[in-house]
Amino acid sequence: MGYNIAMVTDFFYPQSGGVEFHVHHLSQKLIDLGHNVIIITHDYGSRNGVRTLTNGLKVYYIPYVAVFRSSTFPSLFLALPILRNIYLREQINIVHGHGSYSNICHEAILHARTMGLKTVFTDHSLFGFAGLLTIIGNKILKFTLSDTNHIICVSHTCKENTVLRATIDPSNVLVIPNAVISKDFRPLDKPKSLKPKKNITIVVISRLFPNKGADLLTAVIPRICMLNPDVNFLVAGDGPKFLDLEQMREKYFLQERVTLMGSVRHEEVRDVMVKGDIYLHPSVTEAFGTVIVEAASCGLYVVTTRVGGIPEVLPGHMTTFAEPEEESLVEAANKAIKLMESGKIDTSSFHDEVAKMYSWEDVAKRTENVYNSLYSEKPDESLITRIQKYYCCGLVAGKFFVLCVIIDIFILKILDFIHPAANIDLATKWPKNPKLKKEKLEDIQIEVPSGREG
Amino acid sequence: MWKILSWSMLLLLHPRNHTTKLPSWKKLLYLKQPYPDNYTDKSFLSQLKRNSTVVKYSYIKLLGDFSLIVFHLSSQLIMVLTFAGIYLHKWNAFVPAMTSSALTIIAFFIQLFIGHNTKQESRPHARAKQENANVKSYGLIIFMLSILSPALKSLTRSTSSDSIWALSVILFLANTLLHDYGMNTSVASRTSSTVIEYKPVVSTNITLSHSIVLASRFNSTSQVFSFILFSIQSNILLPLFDFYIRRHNYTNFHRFVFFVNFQTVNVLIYVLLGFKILFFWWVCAFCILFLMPAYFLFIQKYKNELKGPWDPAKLMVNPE
Repeated sequence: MGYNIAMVTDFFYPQSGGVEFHVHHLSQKLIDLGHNVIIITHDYGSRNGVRTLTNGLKVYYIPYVAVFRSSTFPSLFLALPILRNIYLREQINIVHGHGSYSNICHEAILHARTMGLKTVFTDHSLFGFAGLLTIIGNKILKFTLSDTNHIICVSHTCKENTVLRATIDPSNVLVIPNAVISKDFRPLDKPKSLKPKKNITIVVISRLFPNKGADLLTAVIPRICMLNPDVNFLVAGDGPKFLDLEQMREKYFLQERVTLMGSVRHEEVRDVMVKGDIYLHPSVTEAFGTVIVEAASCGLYVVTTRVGGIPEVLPGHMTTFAEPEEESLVEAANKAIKLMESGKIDTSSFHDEVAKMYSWEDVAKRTENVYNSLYSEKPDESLITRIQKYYCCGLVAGKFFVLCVIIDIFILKILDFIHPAANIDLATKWPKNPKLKKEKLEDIQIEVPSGREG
Repeated sequence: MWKILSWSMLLLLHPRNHTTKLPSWKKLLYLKQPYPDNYTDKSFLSQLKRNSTVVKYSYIKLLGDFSLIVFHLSSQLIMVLTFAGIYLHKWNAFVPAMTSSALTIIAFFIQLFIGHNTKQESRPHARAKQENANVKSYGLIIFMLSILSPALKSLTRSTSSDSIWALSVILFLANTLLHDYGMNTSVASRTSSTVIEYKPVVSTNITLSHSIVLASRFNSTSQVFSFILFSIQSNILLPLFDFYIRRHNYTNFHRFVFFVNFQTVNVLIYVLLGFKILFFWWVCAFCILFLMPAYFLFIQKYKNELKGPWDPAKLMVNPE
């Protein structure tokens, strides 16, 4: 019997992106390891209620208003009744929140702590310190993280960022990278020859937002095309900067050489990638950059800007780094094109190397270790210690946070009274996959916490 | 997990050997390193830069910047006090309007003179066009004003005076808070391809509504016209003129304008309200002019600006 884990995030299918895939793949692998996993997210229009995905991964789309880029409205207590119901119904032991701008995740962690459950938080993105929005965001993050048992970041840079933003003890923060499903991103079957080749194709797959470096992309494409008459571009992705790219294409008469595909589904990404030889990644900020790992896994040589956590992700023989400047990126791309044309790079081994570096099994095992440590390390703290932690969050904010926590406890008591836990049906667990190794399951023996008080 | 545990056991048992046993930690994700996931290296946060873009301020420069607040307050006070004089003490409304008009015309010629003296912006044709447009729009405003004065006179007839005074206070505060004090006249921004535009839109609108609200208390059309004209000249044109001379580095002349402005308020307060209020105004002006810059310098030491690899990179894209 494994843990009952609730993954909570605002960002999930039908949307696609780094957090969404992380949550899904991690959940699948945790189910393979013998745990019960459910996902809680807000409803996406017609996609609401309870859905079941592969392997009995249950997704709760709870009714909630999404306000900005599918982040939910920041209410403190509104979700408590439904979250409590789900936690009790699914006998949740561990609540695992994802994404620091996911409001529902903050709420879920607060309520889970009030109900005495263990909590883990994964941060997927980087944020600065200037600007009103980030200041408020960081304060909310501090509120949530000051009483979260463990925090996971997807890269070392992300860890530094999170530690600074939430002022927490770095030894409490773990680094577990993202991964790729290696078999979904394999290169074309025909062996790539090492002999010099002409007609290099550069692939770019990116949502065309300013923070993904769309402006930089628009600036470098004509220059690279001018310097290398045999190079073609394949740009997949849509966004507000799509028009700029189209205009650039028209202005420099590059219709023959620059293909703009518009948005592609994630399943098709591999098919787009294998058409190219070099992957160009012009991003401005990136916590991990799963897409460059996917590209390398498809056997592409990667040219990328040196920002955020990207320098940690791939070894030097698979990448050329550039500063996030037009000159530097053009230079790096030229270097990569020369290398490819002279046939000095053997990309055929990239796929297997990447498969060894990043796998979801590894991520799931490391995450499982985190869950185990929740039960082995320290007993749950008393309410007064928790409140002390919140109180230290700031001169005004500290008092406000304490007030919020106490109100949360009160609401929970009222809910316990009008809708007792005994009246809530327990959900039936999905039958376990019989192929799973038996000894794996026996390893995990936990005592389920009985108390539901704060 | 066991591997990590055994490594840490090794660490505990042979503290002297650990440098030879453990490879040094690298900030890389693709390596499987014999360190726990929550390992925090000595190099943690080594790329953090603190206060990298902080500017050193000089007290004298700050004094100049803060004097603009006093300048703006003075302009507004001149308007309100002149209104009080006309409304309560039956001053002749033509006198301030004529004085300010005369000064405006003088200022216009000074501006022409300065414009001809500066050789850098050598586009005489465009400039002459601009000046022509200015004169035209100014004439148009006066014309509109004289047409609208009768309507403005009866604008707030049905409102009680108390509400108007309250509204006036609110507009005064809003104007003070939302005014664009236009401190940035630096050389760097001047030499850039576009000439800096100084458009204090919000405060211009507030000033205009403020003067209309006050003027609507008057009984004669000529008073309304004169007062609004005076307000426009003293509160909208004067800051623009002042910005112009500051931009062209006529610092002493700016100081002279500031002094005249300040002195006018002093006289008006003394005549209308007496010495006690004048003293209070001096204290206020002193605090804004001398104590606030000092406080601003004092709190600079609490500045804690954090920069690191997580910040979105500033793109260096060459202009077309």
